[in-house]
Amino acid sequence: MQSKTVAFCERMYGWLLKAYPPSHRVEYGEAMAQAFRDLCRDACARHGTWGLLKVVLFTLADAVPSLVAEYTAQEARAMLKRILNSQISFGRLERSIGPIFAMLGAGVLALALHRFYEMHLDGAPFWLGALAATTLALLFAVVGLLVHVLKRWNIPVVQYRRAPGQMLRYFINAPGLCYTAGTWVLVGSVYKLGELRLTEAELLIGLLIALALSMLFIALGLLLNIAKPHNKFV
Amino acid sequence: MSQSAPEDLLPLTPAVFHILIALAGGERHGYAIMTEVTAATGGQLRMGPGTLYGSIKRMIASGLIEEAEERPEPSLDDERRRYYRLTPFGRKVCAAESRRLEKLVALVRRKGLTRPAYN
Repeated sequence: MQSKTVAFCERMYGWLLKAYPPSHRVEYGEAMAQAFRDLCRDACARHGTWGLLKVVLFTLADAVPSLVAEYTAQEARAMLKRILNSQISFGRLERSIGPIFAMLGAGVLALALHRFYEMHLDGAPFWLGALAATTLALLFAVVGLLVHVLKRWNIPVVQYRRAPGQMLRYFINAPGLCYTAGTWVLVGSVYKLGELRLTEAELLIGLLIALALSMLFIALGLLLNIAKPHNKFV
Repeated sequence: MSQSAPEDLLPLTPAVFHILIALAGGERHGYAIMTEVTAATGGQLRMGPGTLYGSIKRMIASGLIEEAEERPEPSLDDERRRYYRLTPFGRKVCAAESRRLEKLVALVRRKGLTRPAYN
């Protein structure tokens, strides 16, 4: 009778094991079932059915935190792996470069034009300054594109000529927009804070808030970049 | 896998520390570790299979223990069981944790919060 009860408890534990992450179940499922079986037999031999019931309840209580721990560890490992891959894999990093450089270029251009307007430049000085700022902004974009081309240098450049839409999407995408927004928030805030007559403490608080807001956007961009499927640009 | 210094892994959780102590006596399989830990702590620390093998997995990943050859346990049944043993690094970590706890106990005694067991 007791061996049937133990066998029943083993079957129940087998169902519980299905709740564990597949990798953990494949690696340790059999050993865990074996340990549970030993516990049940020992408890039955010493204390009968009451001992067996206590073991079952104890094992159920033990399973809850261990399930949480295994799933949490698995998710943390998966996220860390994705983050590390995005750092060490040039493919993933390179997908960020275009948006980042576009962001920098846009920031430089906007800042320069705003400054020229405030300085009341007009005529030749304004247009020269605007040309210089535009050139600098385009340079950022070209460098970003060049990095991408160098990475895939075995693909003929002519393909880029045939896919301007793809090129545009390379620079303008969700992560890129987030990085750009983050930069605009930071640069704009710093610029505006500099114009206001603030005390040191107020300036510091303002800068910290601006940095925090900017980091939020940049973090969102990074998360979107990491979560993106493999780049199908080319 | 590059190993950190033993002190970097401190403090150890009670489960991990007691598993290391259980394995200090030689190779053990999972159930033997569970019963030895329960006996050594007078029933204060009981581990279920979930906690045990979760700890074992992390300890293997940290290099504290390693898996030994599978073999049957004659006193139980004929089933092959997975045995585990302490690594040299695991021994160092166990020793480091012991020293940490010794210092802690010495501090508590200096503060007069407890008396030695032999009093």
